[in-house]
Formats: sequence, C-alpha cells, structure tokens
Amino acid sequence: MLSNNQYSEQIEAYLKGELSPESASVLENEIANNPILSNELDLQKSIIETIKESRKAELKTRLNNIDLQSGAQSWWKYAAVASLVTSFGAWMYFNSPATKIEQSEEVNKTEEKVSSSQSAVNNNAVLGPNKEVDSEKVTKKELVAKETSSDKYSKKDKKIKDQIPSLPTLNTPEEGRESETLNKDLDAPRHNLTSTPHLGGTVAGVEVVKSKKHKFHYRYFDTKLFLYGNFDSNTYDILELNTSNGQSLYLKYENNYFGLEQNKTEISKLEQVSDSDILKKLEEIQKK
Amino acid sequence: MTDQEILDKVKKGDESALDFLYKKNYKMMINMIIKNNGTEDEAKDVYQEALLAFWLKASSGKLEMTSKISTYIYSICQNLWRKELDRKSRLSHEQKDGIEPDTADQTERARLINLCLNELGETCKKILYYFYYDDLSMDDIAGKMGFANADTAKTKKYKCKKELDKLVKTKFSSNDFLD
Repeated sequence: MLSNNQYSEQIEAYLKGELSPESASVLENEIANNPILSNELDLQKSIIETIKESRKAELKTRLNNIDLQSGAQSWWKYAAVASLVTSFGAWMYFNSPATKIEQSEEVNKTEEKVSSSQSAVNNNAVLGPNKEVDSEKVTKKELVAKETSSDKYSKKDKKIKDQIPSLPTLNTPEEGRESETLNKDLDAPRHNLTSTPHLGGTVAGVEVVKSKKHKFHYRYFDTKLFLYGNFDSNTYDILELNTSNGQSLYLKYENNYFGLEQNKTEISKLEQVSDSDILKKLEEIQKK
Repeated sequence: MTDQEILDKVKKGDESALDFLYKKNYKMMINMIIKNNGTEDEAKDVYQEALLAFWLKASSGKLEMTSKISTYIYSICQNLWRKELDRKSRLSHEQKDGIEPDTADQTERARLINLCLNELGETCKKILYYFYYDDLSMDDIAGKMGFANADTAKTKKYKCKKELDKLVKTKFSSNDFLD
C-alpha cells in the first residue's frame, strides 16, 4: 500500500501521461478495486479539466481583445481616453467650421446612433464629464449656422443624452467584438481629423431627398449617401457593421433594416435585410 | 518575427507570440471558413481553437515543425471546420439526443471547482494554468513567474495544487460526496 500522498502523486503523473505503462496498469488495477481511489481519480480529472478550461477561456478573452485594425501597438489606444476628454472635445469646438457642421447635420444625427454601439470618438466628449458641455457648444454653433429646424436639434440633443449611460462600458473591453470596435474607434480620429468623422470613412454624409418618383430609395453620390423618401417624419438610423469584408452600412427605419450597398451610384430601391445573422448583429450593436 | 523566433517565444509560453500570430493570420483563416459556408462567429471560434491547439503543442515542446506555422494552423483550421460541418449535418439529420444525465452533474462540479480556482491567489492560478494547460516546463514557469529556479516553481506548484484540492474537497464533502 502506498500512502495517500504517494497515491496523489501517482494519480497526478497518470493523468499527465507520465507513468510507465507498467506502473499505469498497476495503478489502474488498484483504482478498479478501490472506490476511494477511483473517486479521487474522477475528482482530479475534473479539477485538471477545469483548470484547463479556465486557462483556455482566459486565452480566448486575450485573443478577442486584440486590436485587429491597426498595425503597430498604438500609443493612441492608451492616450485616447485621456486626450479625448480634453483636447479632442476642444478641437471639435475650435476647429469645426460652422458650415461643415451645418452640412453634416444629418450625418451627426445619424452618426450618434451609428456610433452608439461602438464609438467614443465622434461624439467628442463622450468619455468625460465635459460631454454635455461640448455637445451643447456644438449644438449652439449649429443653431447659429442654421436656425430653422430647431426641433431636429433638440431631438439630436436628446439622443446624445440618451447615449451617456451606455458608454462607460466601452472603456472596459471584455468579450471580443466590443474591444475590436473600441480600438478601431479610438484609432479613427487619426484618419478622420480633416473630414467629417465616421461612417466608416466611406460616406461623408447623409442627405434626405424628397421625391415623388422615388419613395424609398437610396444612392451614393460623391461619397454622400442620399436617401429618397419621407424620412424626416420618422427617425431613421444608419448602422455600421464590421465584417471580414470591411464595413457595411444599414439603414434602420421603423424597426426594419435595409442594406446600403456602397457601390450603388444609381438610385436603387431599399432592400430589406432578411439574413438572420446580420439582423442579430445589428440588434446587438444597438444594445451595447 | 520569423517562424523560428515565434516558436522560441511560444516554447517559453510567451503570449505575445500568440497575439502576433492571431493578428497576422486572422484574415486568411477567417476568409477560408467564411468561403466554406461559415459565419464570421463560427470562423473566429474555429480559428481560435486552431491557434490554441498549435499553442498547446508548441508550448509543451512537442511540436516538430516541418512546415510554415501559418500553413500548419491553416490545416488545423480546415480539419476543425470540416468536423464542425460534419457535426452540423448530422445534427440536422437526427434529432438532438437528450442531454446525457451525467452532464448536469459535471457542469455543477466544474462550476464549484472554478469557484475554488478563483479563490486561489493570482500567482497560484497562473502556475496551475501554465503547468496543466500550457504544459510548460518548471524552468519556463520559473522564468515567467520570476522564481529563482525550477525547484521553486515545483514547490510552489505543489503547494498551490494542494490548496486547490483542499478547497475543492471542503466544497464537495458538504455538497456532493455524502449523497
């Protein structure tokens, strides 16, 4: 008979596959005749299995948090949180010409939603307490630039505020996809500083065109997205989805989703999305 | 990083090599699976499994590389994805079998053990990870943990495992074992 400790060591070695075939069969024999040993073996199997699973989960989380977008490790990722709160907000305020804001007013409106899932960037101060102040500043500018449709702005303002509670989660990436988009978004300003931020950098703005002939259509022209139809009466959102083929845009209108294919330069009918995977993802990004 | 540099790092359990590989091969692996009727999520899952399978083999020093690392991982991806497609087509043919009676018990057991694992200190947890999952040598564990030498690592590992066993057994004797 071996001591308990010796059995533990044997079982450990056995499970690691380190026992010689002879010792292994001796042990197997004993285990078969000794319920305590066989219980111990079962338990040890479970323990080791659980350790492995736990480590595997840890490594997967690690992989999911890898920034797949940028090449090198970017200082931006780390500096972004701090600098966004201060300088970027200020930058938006001082550098955005009022005319630009006016022009991209619709973009802003929709972008808020686009980015709500992922971006802490275009919404200048979302990462900090300055947020409200800054958005108000911008809004004021807009009002100077275009005083007409004031209810739009209040709508927009409301949207911005609605977003606040969901944003802090962006700073603590955990399960995969979130962090990818987070990192991407923190990187985004580098590329976009000179133009209207966001919408994947492929679309510079959205414009609604009222047309008798085209009631529910869209097209791209000069990097701008034109929506044909009665979109002002109901809110619509442009959603951006990252896929392996790049970014795809979708229009959300009355709780339906429509694909926006970026090569459509001719006026095309809006086609409803039926792919359940895409729909699931679209729902998901709005929840975050 | 060259393949050799990567392998050297992986053998020491240096996760930065894992990060590097993941990023470098991501597009190629994901696209292969998507082109073969996979969704992006499935692709990601399979790719991670494949990469970790490589990691396991290489970190424990059991791998003789005869091809490029990317080729190797690619073939694991293909195999895993083929299996997954098989499994799916079988599932669509037969009705899903009922959950095996053992499974619920085992899940509960794993949950309890996990709790105990998390009660251990970070150091202990890491040592057990490196020893049981990554299958690193005591030398490499000592290197990663900043211990003086392999003997220190061995002693620590022994103590950590004993502590875990003890925690687990207290949990079980009150819950499960006396049934």
